Amino acid sequence: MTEEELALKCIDADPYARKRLYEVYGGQLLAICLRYIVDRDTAQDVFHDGIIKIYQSIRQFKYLGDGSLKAWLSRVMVNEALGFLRKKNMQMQQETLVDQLPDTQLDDDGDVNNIPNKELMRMIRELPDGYRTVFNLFVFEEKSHKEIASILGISEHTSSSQFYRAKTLLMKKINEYRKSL
Amino acid sequence: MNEMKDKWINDIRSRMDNYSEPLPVGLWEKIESEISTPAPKVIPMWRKWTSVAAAAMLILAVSTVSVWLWTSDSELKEANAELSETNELMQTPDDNIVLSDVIKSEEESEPLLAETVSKADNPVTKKNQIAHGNVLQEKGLDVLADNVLSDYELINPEVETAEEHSDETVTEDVVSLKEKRMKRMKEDRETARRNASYLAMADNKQGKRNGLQLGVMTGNIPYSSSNSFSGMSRLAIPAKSVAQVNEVVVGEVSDATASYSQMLFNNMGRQTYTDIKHHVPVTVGASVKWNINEDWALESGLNYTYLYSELRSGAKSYIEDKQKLHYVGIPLKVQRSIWNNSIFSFYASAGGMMEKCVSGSVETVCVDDNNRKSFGNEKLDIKPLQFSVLASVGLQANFNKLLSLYLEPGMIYYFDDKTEILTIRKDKPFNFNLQLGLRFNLNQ
Repeated sequence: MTEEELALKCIDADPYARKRLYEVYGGQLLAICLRYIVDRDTAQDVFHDGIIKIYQSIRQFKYLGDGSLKAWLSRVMVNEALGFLRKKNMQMQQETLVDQLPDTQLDDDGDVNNIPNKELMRMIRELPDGYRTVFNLFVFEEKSHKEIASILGISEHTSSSQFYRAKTLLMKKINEYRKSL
Repeated sequence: MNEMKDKWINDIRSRMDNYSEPLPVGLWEKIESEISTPAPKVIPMWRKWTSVAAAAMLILAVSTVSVWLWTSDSELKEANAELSETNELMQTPDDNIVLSDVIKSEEESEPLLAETVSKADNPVTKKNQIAHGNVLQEKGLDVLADNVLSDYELINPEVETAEEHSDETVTEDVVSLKEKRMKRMKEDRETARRNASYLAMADNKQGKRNGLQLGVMTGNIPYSSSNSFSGMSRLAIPAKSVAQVNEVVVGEVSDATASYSQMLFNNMGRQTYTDIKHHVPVTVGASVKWNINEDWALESGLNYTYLYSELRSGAKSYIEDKQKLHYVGIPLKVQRSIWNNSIFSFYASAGGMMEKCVSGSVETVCVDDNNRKSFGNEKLDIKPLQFSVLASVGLQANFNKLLSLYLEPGMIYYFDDKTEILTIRKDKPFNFNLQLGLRFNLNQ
């Protein structure tokens, strides 16, 4: 079954296609939730809601070529996660943990190529909520700081500074991990 | 530096792009149970489950109501029997009568009413009373009034007699109570009537579902066809005449074929042309339609078709053929109901037909240069079967339970029967087709 067929059959509410969609993309979508939401149980709840939303709104999906289904599914899931975070009123601006702030400019480039996915995921998840959300949006959803600012209801400046901090923090973690090897 | 940063971001993105987390056990089952909800809005014709389900629900509801009605009816009868028994015990032998008899006359009903009242504290009897009241209302409202009055006044059953309560004065509020009761009885009766009609409807549906319908129909390709071309042609060329023209061999030469040969000879070197006109075929038939279920039906029958074609071929001397063919055919069609209401039903139908030419003839007139005519008549024997497939939509108007009129426009395709006989079916194998007919419902 191609992406397109899968989507079309899901639109027809074909039970097999729905299950297949879940099996193929569920893991990646869950990973998205876990990237935005640290608590695993909460992330799973959001994932569950997101999947339901996907089946309900898959009619709106337009096939635009290979990979478009995954992109669409991810977008729905990210929105679900962001909606949750917004509801939780995450107070990201205040949540800057001083002790985690890097005080020095990094001397290393934080090369990620030798870091296992799982470790990278752990490190991203360890970022403080506010940093992480901006980081996720900037890196994975490829949003500009302007877009992030409007999505999260923060200023553009906050977004970029949070991203900068998230990045330095993550690089630091990567370097620490590499040193510990 | 900036490029390096971008590279770092890209690295992370690509590293995490296909990152997947193990799916929690049992979550799918939970999601699945939550999403097994309404089907898509556009329901294909063959998946009208919702409407089928609704119809089934309606039938179920109606039959439940009717069963309930029926049982409560028998309950009433039981109570009636009980009541008449009591009647028997407590009254004079004259009153040994069936309840229905009792309510026939006012006089007779008096003792019964007494009885009824005496059992006023028994709920079954109360119900019974209402039922009686229904009938009584028609017979005489006075009696009814008495009945109702006594019901309310006489809490203590021992005190009452028929004479007593009939003599009693009617107070205002009792009258209003009486009215209320009467109103309720009326409603009850209405409900009973409605239920009865539902019941009749349910029966009707039951009948329709497995019904056989007989029909008569007529129609066919609703237009004729004609064409002209240069050269000579015949509608049906009997094998022998071909041979004779080509080989000019002696033999048993009929007048017609001889003149045909002569005519061909006469026209040698002339510009010849041929006109063929296929007249509108006429089909009449009888059909049997078997309704497999509410949506599907099978139709077969017996058709007779008459094909008539004319040909004029030649130049100054020419030949005229008049070809008459009689076909008998057996159609087989599957019908699928698309939409219907109480009067109209709309359906699609597809199927095929097998036809055999039972008789055929061609009359030939040869006219030579000198305007001399010679006539010929030949029998045509067409051995192969004529097959066709057709698809149509039908609109049926039901005049009443017994009779309906239908119109089926559609497309038909006649397969080549591999004969040399020219008919409208050869000329236009793929054609418009129109049928008009009547259906009689056998189940009523």
